[in-house]
Amino acid sequence: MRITIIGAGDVGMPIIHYLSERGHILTVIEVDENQCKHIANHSDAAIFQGSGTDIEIWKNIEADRMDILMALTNNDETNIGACEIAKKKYGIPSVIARARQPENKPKLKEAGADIIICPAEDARRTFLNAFEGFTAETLCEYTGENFKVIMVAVPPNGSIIGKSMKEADLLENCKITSVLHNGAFEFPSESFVFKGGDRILLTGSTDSVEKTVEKLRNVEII
Amino acid sequence: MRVLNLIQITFLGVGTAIGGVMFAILGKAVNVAGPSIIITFLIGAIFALFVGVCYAELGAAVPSGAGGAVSFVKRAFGDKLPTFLAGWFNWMGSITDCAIGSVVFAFSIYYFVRWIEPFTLAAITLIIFALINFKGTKTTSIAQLVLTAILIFSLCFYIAGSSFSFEGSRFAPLFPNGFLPTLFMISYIFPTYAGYETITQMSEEVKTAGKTIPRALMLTLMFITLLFVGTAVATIGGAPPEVYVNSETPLQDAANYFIGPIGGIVVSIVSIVAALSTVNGAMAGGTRIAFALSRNNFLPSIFNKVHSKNRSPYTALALTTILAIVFVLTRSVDLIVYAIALGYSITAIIVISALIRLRKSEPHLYRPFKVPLYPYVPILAAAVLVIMIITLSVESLILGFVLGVIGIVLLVVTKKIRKKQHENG
Repeated sequence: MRITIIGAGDVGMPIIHYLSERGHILTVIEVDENQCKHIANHSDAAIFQGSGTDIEIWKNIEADRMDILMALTNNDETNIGACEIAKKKYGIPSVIARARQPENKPKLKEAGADIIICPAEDARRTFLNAFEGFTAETLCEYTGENFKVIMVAVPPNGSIIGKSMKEADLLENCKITSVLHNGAFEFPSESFVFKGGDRILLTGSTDSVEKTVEKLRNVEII
Repeated sequence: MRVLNLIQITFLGVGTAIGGVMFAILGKAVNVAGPSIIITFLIGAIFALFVGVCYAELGAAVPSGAGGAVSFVKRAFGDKLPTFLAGWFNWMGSITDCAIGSVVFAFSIYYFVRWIEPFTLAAITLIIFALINFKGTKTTSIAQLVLTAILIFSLCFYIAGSSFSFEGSRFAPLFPNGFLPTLFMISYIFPTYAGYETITQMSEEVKTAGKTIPRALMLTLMFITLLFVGTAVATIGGAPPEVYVNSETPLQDAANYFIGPIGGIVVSIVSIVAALSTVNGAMAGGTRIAFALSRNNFLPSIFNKVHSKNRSPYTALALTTILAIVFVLTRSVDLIVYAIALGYSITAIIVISALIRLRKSEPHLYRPFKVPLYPYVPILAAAVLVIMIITLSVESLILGFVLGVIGIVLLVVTKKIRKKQHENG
């Protein structure tokens, strides 16, 4: 496939190496000369030294034949600019962008990015999962929309056990989407009663979900 | 697929460059310039280096350089006349290189058996190789490696062999006909260096081409210079001029003188091997160029055709072979050699122009290798090439002019045919 990559830094370089080895036709736009030299010595990419938002460079890379653009620089503004050129000027089918700051994800989406990856967010989630010991696992988080999905397990001696959904008095902005137990799942009604070992799928606003997790994990200390 | 490393592509370059030309022209070259031909070779090497660094910069920077010269020039000038001319003269160079290979082969056979007149045999050889190429048989790089290794080893054998009858006195007088012939002969021997730049045609198959191509070009040039100068020194020092100067097989005759019949036989076998690999390589290369020209709408689309079963561009192959046969049937080694020189030089001049143009039009294109002392080196290289063309014989200048005119006429005709095809849907 014909792939253009903007930025050959920590994220870009290994990807360039990987894709080049697999025979993809690569074009790289990178601003640092030493990095360009490194790319030349370790891959077969066509290399352009300059900014990923430089229209003059874009004119020379056969962008109309490109399948994928990957904007991987550590500067969100550059990534946003590159996505715009790629999607709006050249109609590149697949645009993948890196977001350094999670707050810039909406702007990247607006610029035309089809897939946005925020390494910082992914790392945060993974670390927190490790911290929480996988008894409460964050499955998904969209900070832009203040939306979080967590799978939480009710402890065997949880204080919520025996209470019904109505009695549990959960927050408005957090919904229990499904409950998993013993090889089956259900969409709980108001009369649903919590049992130990239930795995609860929570969706809703970040703070409501997190507060609900605390409630469901709560254990009475005798 | 990128399968070639530095050693393999260097071998390919050396093998392609040490083709028929050297074996054919050394006698005549010494006849004109005397022992100073060695200096001619050295000067030729320097000029080849000037040109080589230009090819190196483009070969390393321009992506997908299949077709070598054509793709560099196309990137700089688009689908305009310079691109056609670069392809056309590159093609002429390949055709005549193929022709000289068949001629050297024929004369080497003639050294042993005098049944068929050499030029006729050469033509027949071309037809046979056309059929081989039609079948789609490709010389694998392993075969080329082996052939090149045999070639290098044999030339070393030849050089060593000359020590038996080596006499330093044969180098005096160094300039028997004055200094001018030494300079004029540069254009005559220059085709011996032609061929190494075809490495750039294969850059799509080379690993980390940006790094490897420039290195391969420099290494190849170094090796072939050593071999050429060594062979010249060995020949001049090892045998008196009468032995080889008027011969169509100078090295065979000289080797015969150094160490007797066994020497002549070994060199003949080697020159057969070298000649055939040149025929094969140049025929394949020339076909590729013709096919690329046709794909870029510079030749009638009939030359676009690929054989459904063998996957060979058979019409381009047929045309290339026919033209090579035409050159062979002129029965003039000088003409063919001058045509190679013209083909290589004119293509190189256009490539150098492309280099300069590209520096202006694409300043952001990263160049892993850059010609030193820009713009002096490319300008000097182009100037040298122009002078070399001018100092070729008058006949060859006319030849060059005629070829150019034929090319342009063909282009005009092609455009008209294609336009008509387009209009008729």
